[in-house]
Amino acid sequence: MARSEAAASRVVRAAKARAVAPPLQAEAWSAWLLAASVSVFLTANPLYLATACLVGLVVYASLPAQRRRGAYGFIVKIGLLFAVLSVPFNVLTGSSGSTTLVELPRLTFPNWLGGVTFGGDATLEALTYATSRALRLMALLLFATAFNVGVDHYRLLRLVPRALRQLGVIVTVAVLLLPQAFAEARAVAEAQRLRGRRLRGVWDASAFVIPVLAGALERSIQRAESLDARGFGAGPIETGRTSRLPAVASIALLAGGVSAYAYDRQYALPAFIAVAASAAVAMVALKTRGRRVEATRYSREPLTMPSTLVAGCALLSVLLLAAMRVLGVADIDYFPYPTASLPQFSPAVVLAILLLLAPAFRATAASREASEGRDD
Amino acid sequence: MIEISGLSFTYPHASRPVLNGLSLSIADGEAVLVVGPSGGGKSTFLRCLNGLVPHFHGGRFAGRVVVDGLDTLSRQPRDLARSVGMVFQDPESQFVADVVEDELAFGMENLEMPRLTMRKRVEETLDVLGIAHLRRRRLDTLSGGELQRVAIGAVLTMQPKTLLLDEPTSQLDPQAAEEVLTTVQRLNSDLGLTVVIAEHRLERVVQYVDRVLYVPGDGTVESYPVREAMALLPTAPPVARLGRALGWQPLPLSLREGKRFVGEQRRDGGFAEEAAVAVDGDGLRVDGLWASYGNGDALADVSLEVAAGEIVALMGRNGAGKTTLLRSLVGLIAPRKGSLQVLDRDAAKSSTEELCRRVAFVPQDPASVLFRDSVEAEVADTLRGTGRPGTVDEAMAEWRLESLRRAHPRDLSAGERQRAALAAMLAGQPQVILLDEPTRGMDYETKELLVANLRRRCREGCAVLLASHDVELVAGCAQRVVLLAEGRVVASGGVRDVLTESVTFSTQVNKLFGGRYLTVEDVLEEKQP
Repeated sequence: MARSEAAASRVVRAAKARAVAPPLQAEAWSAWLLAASVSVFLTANPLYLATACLVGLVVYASLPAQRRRGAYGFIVKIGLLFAVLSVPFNVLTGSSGSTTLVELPRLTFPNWLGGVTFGGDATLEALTYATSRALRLMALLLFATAFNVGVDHYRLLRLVPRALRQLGVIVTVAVLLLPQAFAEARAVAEAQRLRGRRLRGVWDASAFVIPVLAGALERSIQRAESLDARGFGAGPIETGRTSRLPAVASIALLAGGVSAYAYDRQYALPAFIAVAASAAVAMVALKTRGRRVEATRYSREPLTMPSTLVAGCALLSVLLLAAMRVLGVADIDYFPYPTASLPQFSPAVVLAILLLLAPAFRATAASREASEGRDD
Repeated sequence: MIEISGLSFTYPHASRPVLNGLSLSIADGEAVLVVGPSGGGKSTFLRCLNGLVPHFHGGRFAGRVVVDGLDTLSRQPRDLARSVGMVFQDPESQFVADVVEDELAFGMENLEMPRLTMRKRVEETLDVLGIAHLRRRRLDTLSGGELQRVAIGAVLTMQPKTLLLDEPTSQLDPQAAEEVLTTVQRLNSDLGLTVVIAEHRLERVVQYVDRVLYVPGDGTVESYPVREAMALLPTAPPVARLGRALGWQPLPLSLREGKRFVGEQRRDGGFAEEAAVAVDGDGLRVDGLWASYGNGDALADVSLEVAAGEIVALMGRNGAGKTTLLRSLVGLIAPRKGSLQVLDRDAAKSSTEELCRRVAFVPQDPASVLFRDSVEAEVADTLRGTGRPGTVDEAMAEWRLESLRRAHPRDLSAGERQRAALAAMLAGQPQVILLDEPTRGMDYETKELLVANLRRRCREGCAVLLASHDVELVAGCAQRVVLLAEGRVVASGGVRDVLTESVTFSTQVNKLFGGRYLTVEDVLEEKQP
């Protein structure tokens, strides 16, 4: 008797916990997205980038099917098309490199049309380089899609630092635009079918990019309006020069770091320090401003164990990759020019990238819970 | 206290003002109903009272609006949030949190209240609205009525003195709407909150309000005592229209008041069911259908039939399976079991594109089907895609859209958008028409237009299946009713049989006279000879 009661109360408790606990917290997803995006910029090796694509795909596929329905696959397809198209385009427009694959007729546009040269020698180097870039683009898109399917956008909205909330509308729209666009794209596809037309190729679909974005924008703005009416971002507004100083400093440091790196790779270390300093200044500034706005929280939800683990894995992955890049492990900074060679492939790097798979484990475990949602 | 003096407002890029030289005041504790055709400026008027106009929307603003001593021009909406709370039309577009309790606290967090105050106010609000049992529920598991009460709670925790509600029940079924409006009425009478509410379901609110503001759409706002308004304005609940026609004085606003005039005489009114006009052609037939959409809205062993020339209404609570049934009929949902015969085709085996050559389906949200850059392009798109016979001009005339042909759908008002969506989806001559809640938030004129249109198409041999909560609409146009509950058919039969036997789905006139009376016209026709 007592045992069955205990069992029953355990079931009830578990059900309650499931009803309230979100699958993976927005903090963890944000850390993962940030880490994953940085990691694909730490390598140019097509093999590692392909691994990253695979990771993005697995994480995406591990999310509950109900939330992935329709438009997300669609967006991935559009991305794939652009990525694939970018390869011949890059090969045709860049003709340096020493290993010529095919010689093509050369076509140079007049200066008033941009003076671009098409054709000429299609080189293996250009092909490899273009492939790397396409893979990186694809990986980023997959990460962003997985993040958007997985993350709880409202929790994400509440994570926005208090000081930034004074930008109310802009922040709301920025956070909500993409998920709204997915919903909107799904509606377009359905409405077209009701009008006797299935959107077959990606070309059909691309005709709707503008209306989808316009519709998504409109809906995000509606939501922003209701948040505004409920005091989102209320509080004293500071416009003194002192409050702008950290922002200016942070942007200047960031711009300096990035341009130094872009100018010459040998400035990598100072550039890295500048970017890190920029981030630090921004964080301190947001913290202190946030304190002046005085946040109060109704209920604090501490980070759950799975969220901490996912964020930890993501961070570890980036740190490992950065370290390997500095040490120059196994072609991590592969560059095909002037003469392409077969890129090396190191299991250590691959393992570091695979750490980014962490959300997939948690997402699969939680997918049952998400399917309880209502859909009318 | 709300003071408006010389208020004029023009939206950016608009040529004429929505509100023009408006002066009026609303006293503390007053309950004010805002009525008028959709697109006339009701929403704009409400948004002027909490500063969303002009701060959020921009545009040209003149005059002064002072709410609770605060000038809306010099304060941001978020600062006015302490004095004025606003509840929007669509319950789902106003939430932030996942869980009810957090949602209620969101506004207070923004206002930086101490945690103890927040806890206390959340408790109080949960009790006031009778939603204490929902406190830990996830928002995505709540019904429409519950959601809208949570939305009201979410602004009440900020303890505003004024509550603005912009058509809060337009997305709800009758019971849920009742819950919400009763709650609003209690807040007004028990807590003394000033309430300004825009609402189409007059029969549920007129008896509670003190004053009616009529926004005709020419920039003016006329203020009437409620009884006078119901005697004058084109829109009035059935009981008031009946009173108007029969010269009852003072004009009854509620069933209770109407009963006095009817007295004890419960007549039978031997109305026969209106038989469907016999027309050649196929309709649709559903046999033993099992299907589910999402998780809540499932069908279990549903069978029904709609003949050509017939309008059948599908009624039932939110989540009863109406949408699932309609979507299955156009192949957007694959059934698990059962047969779906639409015209001469098996809907389970045909693609949506193929079915829609002769079947028209209008989904719930009209904005969700409009994507082209003009109204005429929307219609042309359907005609081209489906290959149905017909021209754009016909459709424009049919839905009174001639002057809006080239307008961008996003620039239209909600009511115009609904007409554009109907024109776009019903263009050509579909042989089967499926409508999902077509009258949500629809004004009186558009509703009349829709009823006339459906009746005409029906005479021409069209089969119509209409999912709706709108009892008066169903009473006015359907021949048969199928009532769904929890995915099963619980009643099916002639419109008079089903509606007069029901408590929640009966019309005001039926509640008044009993018997087989359904509409104002029933009573009036009987009086005349």
